Amino acid sequence: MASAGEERKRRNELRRELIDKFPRDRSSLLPALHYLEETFSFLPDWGIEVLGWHLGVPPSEVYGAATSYTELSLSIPSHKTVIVCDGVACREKGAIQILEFLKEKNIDGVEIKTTDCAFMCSVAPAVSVGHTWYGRQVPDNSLAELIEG
Amino acid sequence: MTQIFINGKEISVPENSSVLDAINISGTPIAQLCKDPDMKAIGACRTCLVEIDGIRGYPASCSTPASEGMKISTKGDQLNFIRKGVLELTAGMVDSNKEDLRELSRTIDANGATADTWKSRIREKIDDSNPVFNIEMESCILCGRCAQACQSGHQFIGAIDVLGSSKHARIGTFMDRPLLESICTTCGQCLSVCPTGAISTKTKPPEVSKTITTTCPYCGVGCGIKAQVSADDTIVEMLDDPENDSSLGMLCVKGRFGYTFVHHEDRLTEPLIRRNGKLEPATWDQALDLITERLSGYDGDSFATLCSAKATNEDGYIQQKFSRLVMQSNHIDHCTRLCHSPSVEAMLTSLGSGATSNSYVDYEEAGCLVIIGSDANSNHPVAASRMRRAVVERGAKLIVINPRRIDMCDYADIWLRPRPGTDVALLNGMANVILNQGLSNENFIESRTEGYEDWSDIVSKYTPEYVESITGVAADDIAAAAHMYAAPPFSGSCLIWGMGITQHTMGTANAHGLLNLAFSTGQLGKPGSGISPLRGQNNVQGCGDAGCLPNAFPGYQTINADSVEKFSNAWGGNKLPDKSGLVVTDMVREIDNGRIKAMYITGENPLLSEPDLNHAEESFKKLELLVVQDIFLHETAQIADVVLPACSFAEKDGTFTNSERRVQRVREVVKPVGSSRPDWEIICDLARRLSVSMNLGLEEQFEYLNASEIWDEMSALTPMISGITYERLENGGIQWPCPDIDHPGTRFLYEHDFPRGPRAKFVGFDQGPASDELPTERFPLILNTGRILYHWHGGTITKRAEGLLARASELLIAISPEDGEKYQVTDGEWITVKSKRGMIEGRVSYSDKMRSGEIFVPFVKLQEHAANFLTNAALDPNSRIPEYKVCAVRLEKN
Amino acid sequence: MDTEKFLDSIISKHQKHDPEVLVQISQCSLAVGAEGIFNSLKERLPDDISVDYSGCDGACFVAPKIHYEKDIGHYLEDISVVNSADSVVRDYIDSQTRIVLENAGTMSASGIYGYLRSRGFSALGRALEQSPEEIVDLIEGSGLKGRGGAYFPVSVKWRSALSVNSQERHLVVNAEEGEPGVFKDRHVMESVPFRLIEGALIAAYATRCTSIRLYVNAEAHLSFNRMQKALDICRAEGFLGSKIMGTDFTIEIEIMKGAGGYVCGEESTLLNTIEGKRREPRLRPPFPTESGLNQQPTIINNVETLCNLPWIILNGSDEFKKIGDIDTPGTKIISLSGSVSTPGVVEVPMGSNLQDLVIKFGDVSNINDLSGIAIGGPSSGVISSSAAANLSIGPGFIDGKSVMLGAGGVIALSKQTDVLHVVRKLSEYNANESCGKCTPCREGTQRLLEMMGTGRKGTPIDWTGLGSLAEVINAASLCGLGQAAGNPVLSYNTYFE
Ligand SMILES: Nc1nc2c(c(=O)[nH]1)N[C@H]1C(S)=C(S)[C@@H](COP(=O)(O)OP(=O)(O)OC[C@H]3O[C@@H](n4cnc5c(=O)[nH]c(N)nc54)[C@H](O)[C@@H]3O)O[C@H]1N2
Ligand SMILES: Nc1nc2c(c(=O)[nH]1)N[C@H]1C(S)=C(S)[C@@H](COP(=O)(O)OP(=O)(O)OC[C@H]3O[C@@H](n4cnc5c(=O)[nH]c(N)nc54)[C@H](O)[C@@H]3O)O[C@H]1N2
Ligand SMILES: Cc1cc2nc3c(=O)[nH]c(=O)nc-3n(C[C@H](O)[C@H](O)[C@H](O)COP(=O)(O)O)c2cc1C
Ligand code: SF4
Ligand code: SF4
Ligand code: SF4
Ligand code: SF4
Ligand code: SF4
Ligand code: FES
Ligand code: FES
Ligand SMILES: [Mo]
Repeated sequence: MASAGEERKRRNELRRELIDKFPRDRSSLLPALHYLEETFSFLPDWGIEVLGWHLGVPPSEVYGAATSYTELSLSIPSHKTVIVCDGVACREKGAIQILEFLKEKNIDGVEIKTTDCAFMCSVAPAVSVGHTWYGRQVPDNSLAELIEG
Repeated sequence: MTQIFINGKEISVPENSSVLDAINISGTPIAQLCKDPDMKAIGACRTCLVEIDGIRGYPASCSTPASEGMKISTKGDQLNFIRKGVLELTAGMVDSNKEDLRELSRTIDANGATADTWKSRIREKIDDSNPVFNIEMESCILCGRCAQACQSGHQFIGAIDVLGSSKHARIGTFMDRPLLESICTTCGQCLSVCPTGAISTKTKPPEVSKTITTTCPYCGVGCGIKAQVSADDTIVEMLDDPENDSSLGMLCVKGRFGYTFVHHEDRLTEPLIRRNGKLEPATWDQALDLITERLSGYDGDSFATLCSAKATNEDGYIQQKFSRLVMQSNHIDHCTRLCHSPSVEAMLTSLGSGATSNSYVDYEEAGCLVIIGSDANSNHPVAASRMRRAVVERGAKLIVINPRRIDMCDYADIWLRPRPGTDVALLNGMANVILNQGLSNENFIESRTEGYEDWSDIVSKYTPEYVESITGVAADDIAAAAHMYAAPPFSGSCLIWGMGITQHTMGTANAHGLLNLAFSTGQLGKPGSGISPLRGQNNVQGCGDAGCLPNAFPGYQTINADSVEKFSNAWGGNKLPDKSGLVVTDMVREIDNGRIKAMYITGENPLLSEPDLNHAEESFKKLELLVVQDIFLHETAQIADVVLPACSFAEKDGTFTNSERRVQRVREVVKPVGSSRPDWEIICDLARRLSVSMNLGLEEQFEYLNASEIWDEMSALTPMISGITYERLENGGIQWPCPDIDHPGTRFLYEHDFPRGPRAKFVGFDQGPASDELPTERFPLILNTGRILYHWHGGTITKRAEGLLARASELLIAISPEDGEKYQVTDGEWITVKSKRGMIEGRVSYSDKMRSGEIFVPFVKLQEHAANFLTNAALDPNSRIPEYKVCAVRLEKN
Repeated sequence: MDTEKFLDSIISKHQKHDPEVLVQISQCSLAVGAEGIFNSLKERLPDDISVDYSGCDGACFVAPKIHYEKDIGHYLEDISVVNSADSVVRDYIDSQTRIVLENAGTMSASGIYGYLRSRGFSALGRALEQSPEEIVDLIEGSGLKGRGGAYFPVSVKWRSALSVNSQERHLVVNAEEGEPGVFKDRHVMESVPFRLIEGALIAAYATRCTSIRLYVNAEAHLSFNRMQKALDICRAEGFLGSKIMGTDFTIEIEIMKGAGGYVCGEESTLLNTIEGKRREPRLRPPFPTESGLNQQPTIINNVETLCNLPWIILNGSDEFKKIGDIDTPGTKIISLSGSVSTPGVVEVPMGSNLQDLVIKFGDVSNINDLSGIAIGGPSSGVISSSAAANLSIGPGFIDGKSVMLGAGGVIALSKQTDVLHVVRKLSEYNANESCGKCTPCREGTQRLLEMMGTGRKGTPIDWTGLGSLAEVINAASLCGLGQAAGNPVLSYNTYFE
């Protein structure tokens, strides 16, 4: 927990940054949310609040918008995330086997997620490790190494 | 009008109707779960589907405009099949075991749908944190009406929204926190629009047997309310009134949930007489005879009366008539003295009339709003919603000027934070920029004002830099605000102010400063502009209009030979006092001096609302006779000799006049509680008795059958309201001036000239000392007093409205975290605040709204502690208002 | 200054050698190591052989690839990479009809010269020398329809926006591309970014727009960066901003990122997103062309749609109409994936036969080796492999029932694949992507899943009930997502039940 003073300091800092970067207009909302996420790797509650103040939009509405977008995250990513595409095309090329393989491997500190399409179906199956996508993956140790490494 | 066909039948509907509007006009039943009659279509429930010739598929009628010649069908096998399918999906969302599904269950039944047994979809979240109502997702159909009502549909608060998407969609607050931890104001607008009971009050209201439309008894906004009354003559629910032009279907927490004081067990139900030092029950005859006997001994100069800005116009009119005619006293005043007397004073000097010049719709149409020394979100919540509409929906600019961060700052383009009591300099500084940067309206100045030269001389030395040194507001910000006000992006600019302007020793100077700004830019007398001292009490405008003032008869007809003659003739040819009387604050002094010996106080509680209460109490105790007529036994009543039980707003007929000069009806909703009687009736009874005992022959001057007769007499004597009758008021309120029966009423004043003549008058002031009492080493902090949303003044009423008390049950001492650390008091700690005059205790509340060196305490009395024990009775020399907004205090640990 | 001179001056300014080696880097090839190849080539090639990157040519099945004319074979010894000039690639590409993807993979995406050399921006130049009305007429004459999935006639949309009197008018380029199985707009942006800019400018000029927004899918980082760079270059070279190509035409293109979800590509949702509202569609009417962004008339066009404009201007509408179908001229880019040997991006004439397409470009020997084909993503459905023989690509329901081409995703399903799983997957996608605003879609899609037996194995599936529910969802939903969310189930009913 930050002390009251520190808390105010970091709010003020963020506020100044937002004032510099984004016009006080509701249309800045999504770009500013992206900015928050880039800065903090998720959307912290106090950040949403500061953004709301800056834009003149009630925090609940900023939050309402933020939660409507599937690609913004509202909590700190606690683990290294591995995303396995289990879309139709990737399933054709073995996505399910990859999922089963990874489940069995149960690599420490790794959270396995799925997505419905990674939009690179032509190099299916696709797996993302830490923000990079890899195509034509096979359920073998090279994949496990990639994830561990 | 547009002609269309519904199921083959031709009907005509107004332009811009939706297909759903048309269907509803035609009386054809159709499901419509997400469409609120007073808000825009959402189109979420998909139950209002129809077939339209030439349009593919099944459009939702709520979001389809009705166009000429359209052929619409609301039935048909395929359509019924689809609608039923949608309703079954809808039914699957809710727990059908709940009894109170309101519109939903009616709709489902009417369409022959069956409640689906689709248990896995039931949302379970329940938010019961709010003391008044719950939000239960298990009955929610996600129609979105509540969020719309909280946002742009009505309130522009935005405490709740639809959150998430797909199956995770839900209604909730910022971070899904409990409602009580959000910015929710408990206005209940969401509750009022929910079609399923997912939002419902904790206790289910009993069956309603009648609905009566009347006017909110709290603040000067004057919202329309519709009382729901049960068979046993109890108000069980209060609904908003979409037909009301001031509130447009909105209410705040007090209007919607604050009515329960009416039936509170503490209500005065019988007269009380002090016997052997104790107040004991008495009959009306005993009480009134006693007062008659005692009052007949006093001449006009030793009698004073305080009228009630809570009571009706008719009550006020009778009370001043009684004082003038029977008691021969002009010592008549009311709480406006403690409130907007500086505004009225300044406006009378500069314009010749003391009312708000414009209407709430002007706020909505303005291009720039300046809110100075007013916390409208707390104190005029529904007007504040309309101000937010201007900002959010229409892009109006907002300037807030307040030493304390108020909620409205969230919407502001510019927030100026002057040192308390330095507004004269600030406003002169803005004027300086306007004059020096070519922002003034020379045409207006030339043709419609006087006194410009003298004023501009004064203003010329208030350069932004100089003003910065006095106020602490950056010179650039002053200039920016001046630009924004003088040259709004569209339409005009409105100046809106409150107690932060008036309750200072420079109160009148402040008000003049504001008027000068409006004159120099010509920002009045046209739509979207104007000057608005936001009126406080529900009927403070009307109380003044009705003549409850020491220097004027009804309609601000100043006391002079002509007016005395006019009223004397009208009131039976009797003699009337012809010199102005004392104002409230001077009455207190004259009690001390032994001049005022008897007082008759209705609906006011000076022993909580006056400054320096220890001293005030001493004074009032010196009175030989004190009569208090109220609905509760408050602090002042407790020291009275006779206490008379008045009816509350809910038990009598009459009128209130709100802050936009709109005269609105008040109606008897329930029978008088106990043996209470309407104020006018009590005073008439007393007047007749006095007339008989003193042989004045005035009995028939106080014979009225009902409130309407009083109105007729008053309006006949008061040109500005002559055209208003009870009959006309049946169709909604009318804004004065309304001089004749065909006059539609007046939205804004001063289009062509001013009551004082063709020219308004600039009156310049220099900044004096910021306040009478400045912080010292012993008392290092500045105490700012005012209000909070959930309480009304000293709290006499609101402490007796459970929902309100539950939201604010302790006296909070708001302090900046820096000062908290500096004075080593922690958040939540119970401490003592002391001034030279007294002390109070309360709970420390760290607040980022406060600036170091300043604390804020509302003047409500909670746990026996009230801020006015601390405040200073220094007065503004021009208006005699006390300086409530500044005194020096210190914190002491308990 | 006329625009041709302007072009000449820019081209002469850039007169230098073409990069000898281009490494094709697009989203897919990036995922299979293209960047590593780029880096190592940069290291090992001598200074006199320049290396640059382009986008991919669409032959994803052999990615990563490089494009070179000089013999640099010996530098590549231990690198496994295919030359785009190889016959596997050439055959694949040359048998397509390329308008939008013309020269994809063979011109640099990092600089503008390659594009200019292949007549880039001369269409814009020509357009600017005509009146906006003439361009609208020309496009009307070409019969061009939108490629974002709805195939709405471009000129009709444009005229509708033009008919609204307004100071401001907006063009929004829809590069959200959130339909699973489709990855063609990414390829377009990554390989021919300047063509998109040129197309957007032509559209904005013709429709008297005052602003252009380019709205890119949040996850399409590479597309975003490449477009951003291309915009910067255009700005620097006088193709964007004030006085474009020396004329009086002045306009900016603002690029922004979406934040996910199929429904973000739905045009009114996209507008809400730009305005900072919840990711939800708007009610219609009013249509965006009357009241769109900031309540002003707004034209929304797909990336692929706009990339057709330069070609039409240069070659004329009659030439364009010679390609494809009489009702729907031109080409369509198909994203081909699933159980085919050669997945990739193929641009073929409208009206091409579906079975031919899968066999020829997917290198599938026998259509009956497949259990079915998923077409057009979750808004559409699956057909049996045998049905493909009678279907051709084009607008609307290509089978007259429940299968649409959409943005052109074609996923072949192997014999091992249980088509029911695919239908469930597509339905699940709709359920997850439902914005949650309207009841039939939000609840109905969940209900479909429940009825299809997720979590309740063994119970027989009530296909009649599912069919009715799908009908209700399609008929009652508010936006295009829900209005097509019943289609996977309906298609299963048609072809597999
Ligand atoms: N909930 C609720 N509503 C009410 C009432 C109530 O008791 N409770 N009372 C009603 C009545 S009678 C009235 S008169 C109105 C009053 O309504 P307001 O005028 O809004 O009342 P206050 O809260 O007293 O003070 C307003 C603001 O003045 C600011 N202020 C203090 N000093 C200065 C200063 O030097 N300069 C400037 N610019 N600002 C300063 C304070 O910080 C405060 O925010 O409210 C009415 N409405
Ligand atoms: N420290 C500090 N003190 C202030 C202020 C401040 O800002 N700071 N503000 C000042 C201002 S602006 C004002 S207006 C005053 C308000 O001061 P008061 O007017 O004294 O306050 P209220 O509590 O509203 O008193 C109204 C009384 O009317 C009674 N009542 C309600 N309806 C009726 C009715 O129909 N008939 C009768 N007979 N009685 C009725 C209620 O029970 C209540 O006792 O306070 C002033 N005091
Ligand atoms: C659920 C849904 C998703 C859509 N996604 C896209 C998309 O990703 N890209 C796109 O260009 N159009 C998409 N559309 C179509 C757009 O609404 C719109 O019709 C299109 O962008 C118009 O451009 P066009 O006329 O050039 O095709 C989608 C529509 C729906 C209903
Ligand atoms: S990667 Fe998997 S299903 Fe998707 S695009 Fe495949 S990515 Fe499609
Ligand atoms: S009570 Fe009022 S503020 Fe609270 S959530 Fe409901 S509408 Fe919003
Ligand atoms: S709580 Fe009531 S008003 Fe709000 S979305 Fe649910 S059903 Fe509608
Ligand atoms: S704003 Fe004022 S008048 Fe309206 S409901 Fe609230 S207290 Fe009553
Ligand atoms: S159909 Fe689906 S995506 Fe479209 S508005 Fe309704 S819930 Fe949202
Ligand atoms: S009332 Fe029309 S969709 Fe709900
Ligand atoms: S790898 Fe290049 S087209 Fe996909
Ligand atoms: Mo007041």
